[in-house]
Amino acid sequence: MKITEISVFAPNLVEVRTDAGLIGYGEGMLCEETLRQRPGLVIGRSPFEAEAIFEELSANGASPGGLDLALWDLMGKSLGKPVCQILGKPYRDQVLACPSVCGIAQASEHRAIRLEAPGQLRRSHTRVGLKFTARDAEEALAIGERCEDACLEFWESPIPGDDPEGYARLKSELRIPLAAGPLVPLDTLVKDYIQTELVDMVVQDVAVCGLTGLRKLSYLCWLFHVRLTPCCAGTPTGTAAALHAAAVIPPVSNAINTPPVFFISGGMPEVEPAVPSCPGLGVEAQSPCGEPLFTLGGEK
Amino acid sequence: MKITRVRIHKLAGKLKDRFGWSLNWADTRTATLVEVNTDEGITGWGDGSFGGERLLSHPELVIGRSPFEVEAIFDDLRAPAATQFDRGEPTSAGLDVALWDIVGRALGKPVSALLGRQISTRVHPYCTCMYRKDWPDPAAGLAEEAREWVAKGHRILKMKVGYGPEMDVEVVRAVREAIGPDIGLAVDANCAYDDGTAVALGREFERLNLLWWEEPIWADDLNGYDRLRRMLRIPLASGETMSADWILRNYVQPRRVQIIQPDLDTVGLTGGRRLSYLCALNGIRLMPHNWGTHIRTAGELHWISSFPDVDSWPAMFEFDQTESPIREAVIRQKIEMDPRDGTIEVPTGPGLGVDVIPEAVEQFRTELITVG
Repeated sequence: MKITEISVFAPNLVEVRTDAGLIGYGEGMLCEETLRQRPGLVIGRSPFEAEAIFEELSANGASPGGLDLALWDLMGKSLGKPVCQILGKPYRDQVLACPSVCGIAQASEHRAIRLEAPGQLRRSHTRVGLKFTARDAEEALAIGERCEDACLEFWESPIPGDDPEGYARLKSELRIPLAAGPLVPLDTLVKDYIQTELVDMVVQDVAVCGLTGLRKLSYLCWLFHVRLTPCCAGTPTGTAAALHAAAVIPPVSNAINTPPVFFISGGMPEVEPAVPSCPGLGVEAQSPCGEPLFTLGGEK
Repeated sequence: MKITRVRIHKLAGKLKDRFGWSLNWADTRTATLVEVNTDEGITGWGDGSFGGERLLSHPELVIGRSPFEVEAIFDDLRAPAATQFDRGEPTSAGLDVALWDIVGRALGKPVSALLGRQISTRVHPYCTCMYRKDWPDPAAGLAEEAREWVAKGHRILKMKVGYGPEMDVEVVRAVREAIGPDIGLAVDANCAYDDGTAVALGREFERLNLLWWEEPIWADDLNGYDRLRRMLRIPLASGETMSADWILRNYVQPRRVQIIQPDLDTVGLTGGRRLSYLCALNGIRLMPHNWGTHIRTAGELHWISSFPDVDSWPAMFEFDQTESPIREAVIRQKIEMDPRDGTIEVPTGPGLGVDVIPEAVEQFRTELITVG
């Protein structure tokens, strides 16, 4: 099976066609400029070369996430298997959803939520994370001291950008689990945050790092005792990818009430959706709307 | 496609002459080959651990599954974790390689195309040789042997040490004089020393322009390695018996050694891929150990082909040249170094790109275990 055509439809649906008639769908950025210059990086190759394609696109400074999801969709469809079974060892067939919300009153049914601003932070029987970026480490420390009693599940991106020294300071002074967010590049994240155990959690967007990236992170996070949480925009494709990724993340511990692996969603999914069991990502057939914004390959 | 059967072939072949290293003498070479059959007639081969008790007591973890579930199977076959420990060590590296062989054959692709970005199509070997023989004069014997390997085109030689500091200096000096200054030379003590002795001996070794010192002390003497790293200017190498998990936590993340040498029979290609990424990120040279048949050699060629140069040091692995009746006999293809540039080509055929000769396997087989 060879990849014959790649298209992007608004807002960011990636469609990959093959000579076997299978079509794979992903969601996220596509490195159009890189592909225009070097179409052979993808066109004519097998979707099973996803790891090589991911590394080659990354080495060329391109973001491979959207395309990578489509390749995994194709691999699963080709084998008749849900992606989680070929991505790694599946540990669960349902994953706790953690919607990202502005206020604690929203998502009242969910057992995990990510708040997008510090405010009322407590709700019983709910794991509450915070995504809020302070101006700098000083401000983060001030906010953090007020939040310590809230028993936060995590505080994502407490300070701007890639700042290991800032994170180290927060870690030494705050008693809140810290999480590095998706804006830190993958290699930097692994080298400076994960293997040094600088953070307690890593949040990664499936549309940016793809499933190949999440698989690398899944092993390394386990190795260095860092929790990994996939996140997505909440679209069907993104949610499916996040569920497959979360399915293969090793559990935090063997305890009976071990803290759950969850995924963060921009939408409002079910409380604990099932990991899709149909081949590929398991998303129902997509019918992209309108003309493609970008196309590469196809019949001449 | 489903896996239908796993056969573990234990092989042994007698040597013409015994050879020795700091720990022992050997008069026989052994191998464990793992053969995996599928319902579509595709068979894969690996050389190394097969899953042990875990597979024998839970065959359903492999039989009936798709070989494309290679990552899941690798982690499913980990040994049970010790109490209060997280996960057990992997036990199925050889079986893992066999699954990658099948996946490659099913897709019509060499393993190197599937593991990751292929950076090299040719890889540099170093020649493992110069074990001890029953020479009346070890220094003279080793020097003569060294000259023979150089005459065959080898550019880097690794010799055995660990027989006491005085003896080691004598023999290494003799070999260095025999081969001249331009041939690379490394030494391997197989964990013979304590770090105090090693640091003193290392000072002498520094004068002999060595490329690395392999296993000077016990692999898990981490404080000892820290001391040697601080005190010696010779790159340190270790890791041949350890899992990817252990190596990454104890050698790579703390940059405790400059070169790590995992063996495919312990880490498999799944573990090998996990190692490659973090080694490259940390600037640690990955130079696999290889003490198996050419089935293992083929697997290591595919693996190392995706590893970038580190500090201008090209992708390199161990090319065992000591006597072995089994090593080359079990595959049809020849894996040889080109003496013109000292490199070996990564196989280009589907899967591992080598074909096993069943009759040869049977010839050397001492035990057969069948699962499924």
